[in-house]
Amino acid sequence: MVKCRSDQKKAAAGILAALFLIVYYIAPILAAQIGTVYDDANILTEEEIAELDGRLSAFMEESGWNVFAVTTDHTGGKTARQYADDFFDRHSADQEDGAALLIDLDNREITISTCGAATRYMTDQRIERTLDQAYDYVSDGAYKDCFLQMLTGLCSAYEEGIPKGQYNYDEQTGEVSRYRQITLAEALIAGFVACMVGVIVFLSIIGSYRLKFGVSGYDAHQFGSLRLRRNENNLIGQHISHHRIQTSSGGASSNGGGARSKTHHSSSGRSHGGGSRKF
Amino acid sequence: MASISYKCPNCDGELLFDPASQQYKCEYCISYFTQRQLDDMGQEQAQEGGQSEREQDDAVVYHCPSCGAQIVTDSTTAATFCYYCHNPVVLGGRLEGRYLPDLVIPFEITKEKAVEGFLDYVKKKKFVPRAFWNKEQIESISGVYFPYWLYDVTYDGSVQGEAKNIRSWRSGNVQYTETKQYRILREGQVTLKNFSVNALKKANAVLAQGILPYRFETMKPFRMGYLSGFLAERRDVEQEEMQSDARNTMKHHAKTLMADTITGYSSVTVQNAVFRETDEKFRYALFPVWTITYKAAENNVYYYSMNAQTGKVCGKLPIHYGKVLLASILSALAVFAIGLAGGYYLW
Repeated sequence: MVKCRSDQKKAAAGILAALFLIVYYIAPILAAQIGTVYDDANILTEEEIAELDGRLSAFMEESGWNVFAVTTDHTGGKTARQYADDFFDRHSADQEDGAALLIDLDNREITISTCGAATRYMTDQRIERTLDQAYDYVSDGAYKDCFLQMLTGLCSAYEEGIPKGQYNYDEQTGEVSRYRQITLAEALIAGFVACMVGVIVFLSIIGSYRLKFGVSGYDAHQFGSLRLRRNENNLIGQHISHHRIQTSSGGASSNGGGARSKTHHSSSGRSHGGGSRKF
Repeated sequence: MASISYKCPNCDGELLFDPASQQYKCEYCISYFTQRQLDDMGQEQAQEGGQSEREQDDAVVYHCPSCGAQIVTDSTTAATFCYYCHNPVVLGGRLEGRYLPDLVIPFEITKEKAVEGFLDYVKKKKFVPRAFWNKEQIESISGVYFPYWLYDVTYDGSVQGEAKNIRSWRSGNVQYTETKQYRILREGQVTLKNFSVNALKKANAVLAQGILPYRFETMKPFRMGYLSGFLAERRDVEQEEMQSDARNTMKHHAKTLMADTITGYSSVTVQNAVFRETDEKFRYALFPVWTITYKAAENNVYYYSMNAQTGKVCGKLPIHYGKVLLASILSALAVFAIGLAGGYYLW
């Protein structure tokens, strides 16, 4: 009997825990979620959510990444970047590659949080370019268009590929992680040079086993002598030309971050890239 | 024409020229004789064999002065061995009259050293089939006197041209360039000696050209005795056939020699060069070569030859193409791997 009561208590605690989880995690998600769009701030219409979801799903299928469009009006004291990082980590626990696109009405900030391969594609320069384009829309209250601009930026980066010399720079540790790859051009050049070397080696070996024809081998300095009667070097002309040397003034400054992706760590410890802008 | 062999005055054995001692050696009583002693012995010591019985096309038959056996040679052979008694036979008649050489460089490298040199050469060549190294092949090495034409010439000539000296310096942000032009004249006498031209048309004559030059200061007036113990070839290229090429080549060398005295300039342009022969001399000489001829399975003939005075070697060796291909592919793969690694880590 005692045991039976104890079991009932355990079951009730389990149900409560489950309910808590549902209320805390699942309910807010279900509130305004269709697929990949999480409109917690209720600023998108159903049609807009459906359109965004369609576009996000198409890109996710193409890239194999997880991409979420998220709105919130309550971050619980987190910065927009922390909120976006945590959101991605929570919703994409088993898939590292992807991004969370956030419109945060609490901090009045738009944020792109990238993770995994997406960080390599979305360099600081590309993040800034994307935020530049999205900013105009969010400040006008065109939230769907703002998301579409962020998604377009992500798509463009994916299509452009990882830029040559890309590296992740960890803001906290200063650690640099270079992206290493062999491009098709490099492989072709290496293949061409290798073939040439192969042919040269083959021909030079064969050549070294053959007689060298047509070489008289006569050294005129060794077997000849010279007696000069006249040895004249007469100066017949002299001229001096000059030209001004063009010096470049100022010098080109580095745009800083053309191939760099700054990264940081979310509360889960995952490495994230991205950027944000106040509106 | 007579065939000659040189006999030892002590034991009547065959006298051979010994490269190590530069004297004549009797293989039987181990006596040595100088060139002067051999000259003093004169013709009475040299046994003469019969006249040539038959001279037909390229093949000629002689009688060996030692055993009387028939010796068949081709028309350019001047010294050989009897096939039966293996004694050396100098076909003196082949080197008489206009075919009498003016000069000779005697063998200085012995057969043992030549074999050693050959083995060193072949061992360095990793792509030669193993069969090429066999003992029989190496023992077939022969000492041969090859015929050459030597051309000496003296020119009176001049070279005219223009030279430039360019100097550049910088002052502030202005770059100055000074160009000085000179008219150059060189006039004088050029003497070129010992230009050697192979005087044998046979296919393996290329061997004789590849091992030039010799140290000409050791050349000696020709004596038939130097051929004893070696093979010798008589020339079949006459002076008229080679003199035009020799003159042109030497004129070019004369111009280069004189133009090389124009130094200290940034650039030199020779505009005019005139050379006139004031003296020239063609001489006929025999130079020593150690040679191996090797017939491969596919009927290709390969050669190896060594300058028997300086040790310089030259050859056309058989090649194991499979090994060469493998080495080429491995090299290409190594370069490909290095290229990919470079692309991955550096660029």
